[in-house]
Amino acid sequence: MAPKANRFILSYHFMGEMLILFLILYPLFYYNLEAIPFYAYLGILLLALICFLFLTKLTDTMALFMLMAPVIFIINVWLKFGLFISMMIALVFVWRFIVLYREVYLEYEMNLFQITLVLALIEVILFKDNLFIIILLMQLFLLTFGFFSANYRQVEKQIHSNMKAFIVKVILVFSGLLLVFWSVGSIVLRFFWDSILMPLWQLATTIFISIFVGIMYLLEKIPLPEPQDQNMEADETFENGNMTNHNLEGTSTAEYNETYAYIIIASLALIALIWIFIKYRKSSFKKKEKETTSNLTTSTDTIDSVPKASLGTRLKARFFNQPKHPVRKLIYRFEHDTAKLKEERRSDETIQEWFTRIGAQIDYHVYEQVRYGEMDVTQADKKELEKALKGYIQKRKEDLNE
Amino acid sequence: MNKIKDAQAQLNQIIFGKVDVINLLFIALIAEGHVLLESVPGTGKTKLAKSFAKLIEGDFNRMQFTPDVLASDVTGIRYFNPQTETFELKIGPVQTNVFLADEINRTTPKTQASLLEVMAERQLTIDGETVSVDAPFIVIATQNPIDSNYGTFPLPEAQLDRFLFKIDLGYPNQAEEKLMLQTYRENDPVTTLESILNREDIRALQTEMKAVTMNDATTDYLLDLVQATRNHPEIELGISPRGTLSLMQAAQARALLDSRNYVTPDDIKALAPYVFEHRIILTMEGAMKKTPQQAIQEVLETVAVPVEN
Repeated sequence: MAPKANRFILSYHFMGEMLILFLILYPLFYYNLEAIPFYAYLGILLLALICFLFLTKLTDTMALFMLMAPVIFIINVWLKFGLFISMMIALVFVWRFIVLYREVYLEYEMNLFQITLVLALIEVILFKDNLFIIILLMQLFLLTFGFFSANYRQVEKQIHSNMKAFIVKVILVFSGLLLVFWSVGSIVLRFFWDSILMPLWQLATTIFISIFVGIMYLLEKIPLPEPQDQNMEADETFENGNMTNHNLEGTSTAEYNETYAYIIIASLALIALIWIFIKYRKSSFKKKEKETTSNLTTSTDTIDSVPKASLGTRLKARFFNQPKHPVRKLIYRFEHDTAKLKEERRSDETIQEWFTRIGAQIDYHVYEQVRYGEMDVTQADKKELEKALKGYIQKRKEDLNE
Repeated sequence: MNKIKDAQAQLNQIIFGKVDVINLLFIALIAEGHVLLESVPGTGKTKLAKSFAKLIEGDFNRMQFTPDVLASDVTGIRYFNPQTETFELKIGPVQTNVFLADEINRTTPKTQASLLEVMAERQLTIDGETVSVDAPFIVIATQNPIDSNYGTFPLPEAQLDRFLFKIDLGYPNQAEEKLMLQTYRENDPVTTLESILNREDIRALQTEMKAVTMNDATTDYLLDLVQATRNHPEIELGISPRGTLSLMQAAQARALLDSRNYVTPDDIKALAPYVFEHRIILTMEGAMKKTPQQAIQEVLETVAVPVEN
């Protein structure tokens, strides 16, 4: 059974992920349905979460969680989401919950927010819907509230709860609930949107339109030789009666300019996003490199500077180089299990160095005999190693949950 | 093996806080290698070498290297004996079991070069006559790195390559130095030191060492390390094949001392800094940015250790 302390973190991570799913599904909703069923989606999400959490209390068997998929699917169909979308939602809900439930250590708040931010910004440009900003802010509140509450719990455990802590906790929970609660949240968000974001957006658009119109005006002032057949083409267009020439009519210049300004802003926003992303990647890479260099002359005990094998090497090891010997298999699995606990072996670490770093008091000589001595070991030795490795993982999981 | 442990324990009672260094000396002895001890004056280089020699029941010769020492003073000379009216061969002090070359960098390169043959091939060629040196044979050289500007001659690469390990002794910490004062207050423990290992013991260990195996994964790891020194952008001269061989032998000896009959990557990784450091030459840019130790550490951190993933 999953420890109770984990369920809260699991819940807000799950909700965060499913808000991202909504953003991903938005184009499908937009083109297939008359209205965007945001409230209905939120309702199903909360319902599914409650059911999932209830199931975690009863069992660890994944089959029961999977049984939730058809239930969610039927509800979605009943709500007229369409077969494909209904199926997608049902499958993703179940799949992501099982994955998150199996995770020992969840701390993807920043990643979730970054993904939401990028998706919301792209979609707000494409679909011009205020809902994206609301989802973005919802996500921000949800993750911030979740993160602080989860960490507050840990702090509280360490210092032993007292009255003051209890009051603070109550205030935190209530303020968080108030913020997340849709009716209050929507008022605040709409106010924020109407009074700050929209004027800013209009101001930016007006500036760009003015600049664009100014440039167009200046360009018109420059005498350029006009092509001979321009009027003819225009006449032909009118004759056909199917098309309109805005340039010649001169009635929709503002609309025309606005569209172009809009495209320019959207392109600039996209370029800015890509630029920020590249800068972020570069800075994080430099930071990592600096850490590695500074660790050359000092202790290399920190997990932050863990150099990993290349993706190709890892994939090769994952799919083609799996060990055959049962003792080697044990260490192979142990490496995977410790990776989930953020205690993975550095690629440059020997097994002795690794065990010393993570404080695993396990007799690994059996493994060395097999791996480097190419000797065989007894079944009892194997069992003992297996017990020690499993014991370590169990203990670390318990420590983390505390 | 118990004798080795006893010998190490004895040496630890004389030289304090140098457990690793003492272990390395015994590894070198079993791996048939030579050791270059480098440290500032007064850190016990000569005492360590003398004590180590005393633990071995065999011949020990010490030579103080100065600028006026000649190659023939080291290896030997063919001289004319007026009494017998014949040319006779007088072999130098290097024909021994433990040869202490004290302050080796104070003598001229010509004299330093006289050790090349005996260190690599365990034989001396004097005036066309070749004389072999009996096993065990180990050269323990000492050098002082700080007054390198005053009448010293840095060892050439060919000479350095013949040393299995270069070990920096360094200062003991305060607790170890306090223990040293207490031990040496009344008398010098070296005087009461008795030999523990005889030549047969050492030869037996040397034979046993050769039976220690090294599987493909560990061999590849060793070779990857060597290649990494050769391909490192800041290392001008990487590890020679002699260096590769030396590391393997040292790893075998370490495994034997650890009562194993197989080499692990731990053996390789633990010994690589001592085997590699004096064998590499950094580029001009590399030398400005890092020390050879740092370059070796970088190499060790870039090469993946064969475990499972």
